[in-house]
Amino acid sequence: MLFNSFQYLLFFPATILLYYSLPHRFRWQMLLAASYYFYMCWKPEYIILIVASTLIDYWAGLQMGNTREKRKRKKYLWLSLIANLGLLFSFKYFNFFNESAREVFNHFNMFYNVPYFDVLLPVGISFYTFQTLSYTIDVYRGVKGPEKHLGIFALYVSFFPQLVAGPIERSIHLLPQFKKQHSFDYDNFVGGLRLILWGMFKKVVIADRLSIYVDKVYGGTPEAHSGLTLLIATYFFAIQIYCDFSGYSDIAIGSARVMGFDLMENFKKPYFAKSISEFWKRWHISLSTWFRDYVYISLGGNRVPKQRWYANLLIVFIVSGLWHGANWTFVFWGFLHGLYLIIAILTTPIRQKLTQKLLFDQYPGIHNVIKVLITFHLVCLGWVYFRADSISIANAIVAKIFTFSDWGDLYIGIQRHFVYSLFGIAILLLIENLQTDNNIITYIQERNIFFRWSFYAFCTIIILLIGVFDGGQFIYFQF
Amino acid sequence: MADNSSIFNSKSKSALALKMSVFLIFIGVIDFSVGSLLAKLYFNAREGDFGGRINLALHQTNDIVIFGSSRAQDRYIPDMIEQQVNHSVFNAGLNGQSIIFHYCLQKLIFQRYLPKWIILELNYSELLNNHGNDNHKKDYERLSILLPFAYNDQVRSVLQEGDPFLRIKLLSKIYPFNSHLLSILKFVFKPNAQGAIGNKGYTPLNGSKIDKIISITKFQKHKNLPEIELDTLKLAYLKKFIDNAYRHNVKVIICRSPTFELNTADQTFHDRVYATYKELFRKLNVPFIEITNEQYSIFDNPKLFYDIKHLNREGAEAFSKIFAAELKPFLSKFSQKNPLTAHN
Repeated sequence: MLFNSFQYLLFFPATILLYYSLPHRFRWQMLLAASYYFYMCWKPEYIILIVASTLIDYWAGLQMGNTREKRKRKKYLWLSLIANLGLLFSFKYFNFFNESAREVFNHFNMFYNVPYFDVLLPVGISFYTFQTLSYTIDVYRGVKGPEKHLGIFALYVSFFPQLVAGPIERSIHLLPQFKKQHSFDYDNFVGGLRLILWGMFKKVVIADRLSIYVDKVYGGTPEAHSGLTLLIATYFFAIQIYCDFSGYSDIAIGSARVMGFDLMENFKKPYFAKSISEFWKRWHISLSTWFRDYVYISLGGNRVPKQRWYANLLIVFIVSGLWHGANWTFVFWGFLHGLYLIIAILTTPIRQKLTQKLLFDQYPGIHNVIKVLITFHLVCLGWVYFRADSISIANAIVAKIFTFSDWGDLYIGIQRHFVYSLFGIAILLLIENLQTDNNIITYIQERNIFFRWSFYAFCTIIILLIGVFDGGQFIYFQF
Repeated sequence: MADNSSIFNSKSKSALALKMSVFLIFIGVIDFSVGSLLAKLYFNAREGDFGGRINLALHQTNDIVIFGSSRAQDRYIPDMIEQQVNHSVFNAGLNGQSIIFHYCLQKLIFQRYLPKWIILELNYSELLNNHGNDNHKKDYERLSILLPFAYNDQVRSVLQEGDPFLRIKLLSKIYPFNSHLLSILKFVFKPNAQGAIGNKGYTPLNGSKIDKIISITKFQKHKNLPEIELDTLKLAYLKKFIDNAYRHNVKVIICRSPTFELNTADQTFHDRVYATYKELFRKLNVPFIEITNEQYSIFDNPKLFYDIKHLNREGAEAFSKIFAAELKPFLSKFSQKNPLTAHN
């Protein structure tokens, strides 16, 4: 069931009605049933994987709580890691590594006969396995005691607003909320609906509309297009993936808020970042903090010799790239971001001297704009690899853009899609600028009723007029 | 305190329920107003792939109506065909559509008037089963162009096959015109931009991209050609299309027209597919006109093609002349019987 599907439009109100009708002690059962039903709408049999992951981690958490011996606790942690990562590897990465190995063996004319594993990738597996792993690692580290209530823990693993595409919630933040009684709160309810509306707008009006153009350029034979077309398609993809993913996050956070639950913010105007480091504090925050806390810090972070520090950065970002997809393009994308950070660290003294020489320190406004533009374009360079089908195609696209090849020839495609896309981008820029330090929901909340209702009516009517309703999959569902 | 909070909660819920009800009415009024205006403008349009072409087809009466996808739209020039066959002709081809759409359009046209003959331009992949591509979903999604015509019971029942929630969605007056706003406005300000009204549905394509296509096919991996298996849903709609025509005493002729063959493997495959279709049409007792590159070597000339599947203006002129000559004998000889019941 997709958030932008008609089924969700029926499922969600029914769930809310039931939620607020039931006494608190029955709510977790209802939410658990609703969450399992939500997931089973994709492929019913895959619920077994979530249940298995839940039971293993629940048991491992309890066992870790029963002993103070680090050696024994580590045993249960390893069990959780092997089970969850084993599941993830089997369904998501086995074929990728298998085919890569096959190519290597074939290259050396050696025999290789490991068969292809023909299985559908379970939706959201990368998200819920990371969520449960964060629980077992936190229990191991003593950050949190084990959860004794199996039902509440199962709900933590499968809570439907954030089950299939995040935000990846920490147990210390989400688990206690399931035990707390949530009375009906007008501000939360309306604020949640506002967020859902804005998320839906970003998804169906902006992201899905942009994807029509991007798929046409990147999905066909991109090398046949001009450099200008490829550049525009890359910009469009940058907006598309942002609106697709942040739109989904907004709907998830909004849906939870309607019920009184607080999920973490996942995006904070990432394309206004003034550096790659800042970008990763604003983009997919739940994932980047997960990698920081459970991989980067475990490797030693930056409290190690310099070379080791740079290696840690590369490892974290390469693994992050691999998390996004089983393709060398994602690995390269991750590597590129790791490289950006290392280069930024190495060139800090030079850049500071340059800033002073060019008098940018006296014009911070202009300097910030330049930093934002450079950061945005570095990110876009990474998106080329993220979106392309292969590294060679991505290289060809980059070459065409940077050699200014055929720059006079812009492919528009179907004119109205292009115009709607530009309209959507204009609305997005307007709203993102209006937000300043607050998020859009707080901004709207502080306005008068006329402004608020005009905003709601505008979003609703525009969704009906130019939203794309072919049930397009959220991009991050492939993870 | 607990009592006060529950009273507060109850008041908040009531206030929210009232506000939401008022808001829904507010949205409903805007939806009705905007939707009604769009409907008025939409049904006045007479060109454009968004549905103006459908309106044009419904507001003309012609002896011969040609159905098909963009491959009908690009090559059947009504004026040229009319001159040779001495019957009025209309090109009702529409980009990206399949037999399910043609059946619905036929229903809409027959509600207005009955032509004497209908020609169905059949693409080679039209009736093939495309395993794993979920193309029925795409075919039904493309039928969204017919949403404004859901007032027709039969069209609506076809649309509901692809969308069980359609009845609820059609409560919105704007929804049927989703993504058509600019096209509708374009027609309002530039009523005959494409010239489709004067061209009676024919949409010429100018120039040729064949050289570019040939140069980029080297980037493409060679695809294994699929097994020939007919799609049961589309076959069912083809039979409905033919049967509906004959029940109204309208004769059906099916046509194969040229494509630009990039290689002999593709050409052989296309020939095999059409051989299968030919056998099918023979059993259905439906006349089948074949105009291929093999029969008419003029279509080996890439300059007549806009791309692999479509003819450009020059190609359309050459094709229409040949088609009219091939069609003429059928118009007088055609049998009155319904071929689907002829053997009962």
